[in-house]
This record gives sequence, C-alpha cells and structure tokens, in this order.
Amino acid sequence: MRLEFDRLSFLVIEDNAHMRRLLAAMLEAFGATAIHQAPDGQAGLELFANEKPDIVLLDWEMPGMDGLAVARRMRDRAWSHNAFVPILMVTAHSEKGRVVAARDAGVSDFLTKPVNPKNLHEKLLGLVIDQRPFIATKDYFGPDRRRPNPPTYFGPERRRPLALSDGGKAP
Amino acid sequence: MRIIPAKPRRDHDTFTVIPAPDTLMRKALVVEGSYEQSALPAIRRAEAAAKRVREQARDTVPEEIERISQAFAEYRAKPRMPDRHARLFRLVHDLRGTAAGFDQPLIGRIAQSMARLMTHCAAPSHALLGAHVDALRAALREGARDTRNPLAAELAGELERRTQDAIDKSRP
Repeated sequence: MRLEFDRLSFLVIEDNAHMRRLLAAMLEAFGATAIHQAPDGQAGLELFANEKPDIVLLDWEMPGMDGLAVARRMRDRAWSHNAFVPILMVTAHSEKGRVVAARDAGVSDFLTKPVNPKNLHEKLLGLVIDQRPFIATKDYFGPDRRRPNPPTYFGPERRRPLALSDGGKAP
Repeated sequence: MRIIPAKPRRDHDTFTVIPAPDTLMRKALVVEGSYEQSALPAIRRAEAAAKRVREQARDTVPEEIERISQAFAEYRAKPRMPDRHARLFRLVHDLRGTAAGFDQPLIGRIAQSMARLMTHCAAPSHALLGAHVDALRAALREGARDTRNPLAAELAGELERRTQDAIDKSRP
C-alpha cells in the first residue's frame, strides 16, 4: 500500500515560518508538488476556498483566527466547498482537554509537535483511508466522534460516564 | 423476545450520519506491496529535508528568545491587557513546539514549563515567568542544548517543580 503524494494537494496553515517550511519540506520529500502555505487563519481560509486542497495541515495557536475557528469554518457546510476535507491539527498542545476541543471543532486527527516524518507520513495515510462517517447535528459537522458501539448501549452519548445509567441502556 | 432500543433523548433526535467520501482513496491510494517498504524511501528523504531546514532554523532561536523577552517585559508592565498575555503565550508556545524539533531540547523543555504555567495559572507569578525567561537566555548564552547536561537538567527540573507547585496552589 502506498500514497501517491503527487496526486494530492495540501494546504499548510501555520504562523511560524520555520515550522511552515519544515512541514512543506517534508511534504515535498514525500512527493507532493501542490503545497499551499498560509501564515494565518484568514489567509488559510482564502487559500482553502481558492485552491481547494485535498488535505489541510492546521496549527492551533495563531494570531487572529485560531486553528479551532478555522476548522469550524471549513466544516461549515453553508460556507465550505468541501466540508469533508481531512484536517490534521499539528500543534504543541497535547493535553487531553485540547485534543477533545480539537475533535469537537471537527478536526480529523491530531499530530503533536515536534513533528517527525514517519509520524506525519502515517497520519496522512490515515486521513486518506479514514472511512469514519460524518455526523451532522445542529451544532456539529465532522467525523464521527463516537467510540465503536458497545453492545449494551443504544443512546447517543457513549463518551459520558453516566451513559449506561441514564436511559440509554437496552431493555 | 424482541429487543426495542430506548427512545433517543429529545435534544439528540436530529442527527444525520453521512458516509465518508472515498475521493482521496480513489485518487491517491495504491493498494499493492507493503506500506513500510514503499514509505521508507520517502521518510528518509523527508528526514534529510527536515535536517536541512532545522539547521537553517536553529540560527533564529536567539531572535525568538529575544521576542519572548520583549513580550514578557510588555506583559509585566500591563498584565491585565489580554493581547499582551496572548502574544507572550503564543511566542512561548511556538518555541516549545519548534525548539525540540530544531535540536534545542533544553530550550524546548523550559518553554514547555513556561507554557504550562501560563495555561494553568490565571495570574502566573511574574517572578516565576521571569525565571523562565532568564533560563531561556542563559541556555542560549551558554550554548546549552542538551538536557543530559547535569546543570541544565537541574535548572529545567527546578523550573518544572516550581511551575507544578504554582499550578497546584492555583487549583480551587
């Protein structure tokens, strides 16, 4: 199994110039030829709309619009030309709460800095073969955040500790 | 006996499950051979490219630390201005992400401790923030990169302990 990187286009949104260059250099070494780069969220959204990249690599902490706001905008079906676009959040944040917040913004996967080529390559392959369905609710659109169905639970809140005792259990 | 699933809660009545598109798989995935074998040359090339970028970027670490020093001075002068806190945090957060990758693990570790302090303490001690900034400057001045150096490890460890104490004390 292999990825033909030259058939994919990438958008790197990262305010740190060196980190942006580093990510672009790795993508180029993988074989990518279409790599768009933006130094902030607003410029990233403009490139997203104009260049229609296949995959987005997104930093979290940026001046102005942060990565979460950018991800939500890309998942906004009223605005986005491709609300299904795979979004890889590349960030120095690794705390659990941050991971959950990124997931809730519709991010597809999470890669913690410092980035190494092997991890990046594996994450990108994972994004391409990811077959999780998307979920649309009134306040969320993005990859299915739920864990696989436990056989004894039929409700919508599998991550809540009380889920099994709050009426969601099968009779 | 027929099993009837529980009725969904009202606030979750309306959600739609949409199959993920397989556009990228069809476009770029070739299902033949082993992934490891085919990925290895690309990963090796990327490692070499990353090394080149890191060597160029290492020269900019002094500038990043100088920016942090200035941002800290501005924050200390008016700590209640949210944009000053945000700017300082962003610079420190950036440095923790890049320093380790740019072969500056000691600086990365100090920046990580400072970022934790700013994340978990609503009003972090200026003295402790200042101690982190001083440590960043000292590490740079002394050319100390490696946390295996006993003195460097002790310095980083002391900052991490004091940060953890501050976080523990700030918890309700």
